[in-house]
Amino acid sequence: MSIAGDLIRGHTDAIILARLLRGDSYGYEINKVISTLSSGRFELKEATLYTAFKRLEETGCITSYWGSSGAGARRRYYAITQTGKQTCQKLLEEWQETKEIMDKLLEVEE
Amino acid sequence: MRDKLIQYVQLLFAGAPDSEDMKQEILQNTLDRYDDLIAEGRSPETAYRMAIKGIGDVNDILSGTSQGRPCPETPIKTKDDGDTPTKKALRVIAIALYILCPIPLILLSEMGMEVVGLCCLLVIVAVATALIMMGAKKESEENTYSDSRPVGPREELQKSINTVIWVVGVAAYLLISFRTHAWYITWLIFPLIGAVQGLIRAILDLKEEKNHEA
Repeated sequence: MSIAGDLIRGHTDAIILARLLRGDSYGYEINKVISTLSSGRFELKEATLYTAFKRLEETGCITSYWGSSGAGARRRYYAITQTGKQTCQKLLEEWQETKEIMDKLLEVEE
Repeated sequence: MRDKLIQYVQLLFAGAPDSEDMKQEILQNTLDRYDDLIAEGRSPETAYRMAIKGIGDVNDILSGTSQGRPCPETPIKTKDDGDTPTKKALRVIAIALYILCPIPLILLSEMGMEVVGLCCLLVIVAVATALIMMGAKKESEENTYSDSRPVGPREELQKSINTVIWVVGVAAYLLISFRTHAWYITWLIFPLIGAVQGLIRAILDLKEEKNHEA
């Protein structure tokens, strides 16, 4: 699992962008979806998620705004930008290619 | 347990400047997770532990050293590179001399030669300071080629000279005063030190002007 975890973590940006394509969201919600979709096998740490958000914001892929305060503190929402959508598309294509190559490379001939 | 979790997150960011937004965001996400775990039927203790585990290492974001953001570290590195090995070596020797300088005074005092001892001490301090100055000068020479920091080395040089002037001045004041017991007049050494300092600053300014003209 740890190796798979590392592999997935390498695509954190793509995962976040792909989630935000479906609408604005905030840290925990995205993490929750990641956890659900991976049947609880994968999850990001808050620190990792936060770093990725900051990185994507700096490159103009996403924007953020403070939402209504949740139970305890304020909630920061993220929205994907046009640049973000293009980046997401590019990353998706890259991933498709990677997957294709890996499938070929790891193929065991009968 | 929820309050304890809030306290925990607040402690994580205590002392980190400009981390308020970061704290708010991570705190909210952590509380969301905690509430969710409680809703799933976990005990407060388990939820607390799992929520904290979910935070991960905040040192990465606090120091900005996470992958993809190496920028904040770069300037520090270049500053380190600015200290050439020669300069470092000179500084190490100088510090060693500063530390060891009282030895001759102690030894010679035992033999009743305080004045000689004091002179030795002053000579050693002067040598040590000269070494630091040499380092600063070396740096200034390098900088004239790159022209990146024209003011710094001069200031450093002047600082070194000031140190020498003050050490020698105070020592002279004490030495003369104790020898002659002419305390009423020896204080004049201090205005004199100030004058010498001004003179040296003027000489340095003049020299720099000449350098600029050349």
